[in-house]
Amino acid sequence: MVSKKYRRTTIEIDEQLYKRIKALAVEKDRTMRDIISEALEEKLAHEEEKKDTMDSDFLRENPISKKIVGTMEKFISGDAALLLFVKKCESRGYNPSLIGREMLSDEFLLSLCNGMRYLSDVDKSECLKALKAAVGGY
Amino acid sequence: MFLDSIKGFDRIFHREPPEGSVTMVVGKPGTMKSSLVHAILSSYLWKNKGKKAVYITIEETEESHISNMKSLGIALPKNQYFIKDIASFKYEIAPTEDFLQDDKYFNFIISEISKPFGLYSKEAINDFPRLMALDSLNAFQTLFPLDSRLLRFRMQDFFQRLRHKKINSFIIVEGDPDVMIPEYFMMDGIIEVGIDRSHPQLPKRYVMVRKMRGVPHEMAPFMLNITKNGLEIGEPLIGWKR
Ligand SMILES: Nc1ncnc2c1ncn2[C@@H]1O[C@H](COP(=O)(O)OP(=O)(O)OP(=O)(O)O)[C@@H](O)[C@H]1O
Ligand SMILES: [Mg+2]
Repeated sequence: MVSKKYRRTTIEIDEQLYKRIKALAVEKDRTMRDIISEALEEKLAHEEEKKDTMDSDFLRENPISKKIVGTMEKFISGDAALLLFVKKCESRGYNPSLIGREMLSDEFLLSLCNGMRYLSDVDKSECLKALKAAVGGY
Repeated sequence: MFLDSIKGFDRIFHREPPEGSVTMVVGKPGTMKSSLVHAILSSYLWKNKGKKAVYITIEETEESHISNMKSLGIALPKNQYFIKDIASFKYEIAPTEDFLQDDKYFNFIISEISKPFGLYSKEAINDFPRLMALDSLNAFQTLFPLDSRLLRFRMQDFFQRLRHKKINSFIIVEGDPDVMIPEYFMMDGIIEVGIDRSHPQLPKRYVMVRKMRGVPHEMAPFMLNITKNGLEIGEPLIGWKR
């Protein structure tokens, strides 16, 4: 086995947390270094996995978002639709999983159409109409 | 479609190259690669009202293309010509670096490029454009994390799909035409554009067909003239040295 390389670092942690790590290390007869490294590995793996699936998870969770992205896909590719929708949500501080009808102002939908028009020759008003029809109402 | 596009192509091609040819337009910076392709496509479309073209630009914005074409007197037929502006779209979504991880970027570009033609879609698209341009292959490839064999494999598959659908395609490559790149082998045609500087006071733009499968053609460089109606192919260049 290849021996691991270690790097020394200094961080400040909560006093109580420190005591708990120390106690666990004694109990398990392991070094604090191992306990902390293991915990960080788990955290990082979890975060990285979350990032991998996060991109399109909201489509399963939110039928309105799904309808919108589905309609966008008529004009641009699925990959582009996803990227644009997430970006436009982000810039308004919306969580794509928590999109509600009341958030879908004309102005928001038009910003999607404007982005789409770089990639598709869809007419602006036709685009707005399609998006509105997709989410029903209006 | 060449013979039915800008004036003078009949000096070079003795017959029309086959439908569905994948043609590379290669030249150094500023040699009018983009302009030549815009000129060929738009003049063909003006004469063939039912046809459509998609020009895909990855690094230079549509706005910049349009102002260049305006300055050259090349008019793009509005309802037949669509510039797919991936450059501006990228700016719009302001991708972060994790966009470059995995195949996200590759997949996004490939899906966007193939979308209008239904290259990878199972359901048939009837009325897809039969003309496409990709500006440029360099911009398309540089950001990919793929190893070069895998990239080449996918490129080959992509060109094959274009051919299969009989889409006349123009692939713009920025570079020294004398430096071999593996994509040369994948092309049906290679058109070189350049500037002849054998008389430094009188540089001349030229077009030269290096290869075109399926048709007899001239080998010499021909002048690429800028007229008030756009580009034209003129006389062969005499006394030309590389
Ligand atoms: N009206 C004009 N008359 C003469 N030359 C012109 C005119 N308009 C543009 N040019 C020249 O054409 C060049 C641009 O042409 P074009 O963009 O088609 O070249 P390119 O090979 O695609 O360049 P790039 O490598 O930047 O993509 C300009 O840099 C300029 O030198
Ligand atoms: Mg160019």
